[in-house]
Amino acid sequence: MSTFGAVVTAIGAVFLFLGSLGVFRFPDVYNRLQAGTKCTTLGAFLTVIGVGIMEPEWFPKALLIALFILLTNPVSSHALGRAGKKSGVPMWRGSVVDRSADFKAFLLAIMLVAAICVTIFKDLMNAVIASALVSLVASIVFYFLQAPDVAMAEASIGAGLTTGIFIFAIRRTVRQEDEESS
Amino acid sequence: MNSFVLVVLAVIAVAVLLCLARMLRGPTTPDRAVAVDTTATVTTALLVFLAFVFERYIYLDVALVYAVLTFIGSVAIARYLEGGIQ
Repeated sequence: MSTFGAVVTAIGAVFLFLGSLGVFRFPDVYNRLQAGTKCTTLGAFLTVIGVGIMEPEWFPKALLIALFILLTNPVSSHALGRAGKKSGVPMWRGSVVDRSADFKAFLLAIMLVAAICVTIFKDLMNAVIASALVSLVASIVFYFLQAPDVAMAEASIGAGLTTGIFIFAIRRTVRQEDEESS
Repeated sequence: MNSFVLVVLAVIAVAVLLCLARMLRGPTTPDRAVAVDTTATVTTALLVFLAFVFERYIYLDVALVYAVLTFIGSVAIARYLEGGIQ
């Protein structure tokens, strides 16, 4: 029984060491907080419980201390993380996972393909539909660039009104673009 | 003092040393606060372990008080850093 307690205590001490290693090695305050809290909470819990197992009559008080650590450590680390965020400590650049750049490139590629289709299509109706697609995707891009008003104008005028005017013009003239009309 | 006690004490000593190094290097104030908060947790565990080593039940109370007070200290530091206490 006391061997088991010793093993638990030793594992706890190793976790305390690993957590502190994280505090020392990690690149920014949020990563350090992550290591310094999660890892040392488990480490302290195991160490205290291990002592409680080695000395069975101490177990209730050891459990009380362990539960207290388990309850308070997340609270204080949350407060510290909040303090870091509010006092403007920047995140390590590797922590920022920003996929919106990839998505914007994807949207721009769709716009490019649609715009090329506008010039290639001989059926003017198809060309108008392709140009409406260009406007729709452009409005999404504007939205991503934090310009919702421009996005709304692009969607309503580019995709809606302009398309309507083009279709009106096609109905009054010819639908096919051929040699003599161009 | 058997070898088990020495090994655990050595591991915890290295842990405290690493936290101290982070506290010295910073670079920001929250970094130092995190280092000290981590040290507090490690020290609480160390106090319980030392109570076991010295075989004094009453020493557990010190660990409990230490845990309570460092928790209050960490929250106070954090609240100050975010501008909660004027």
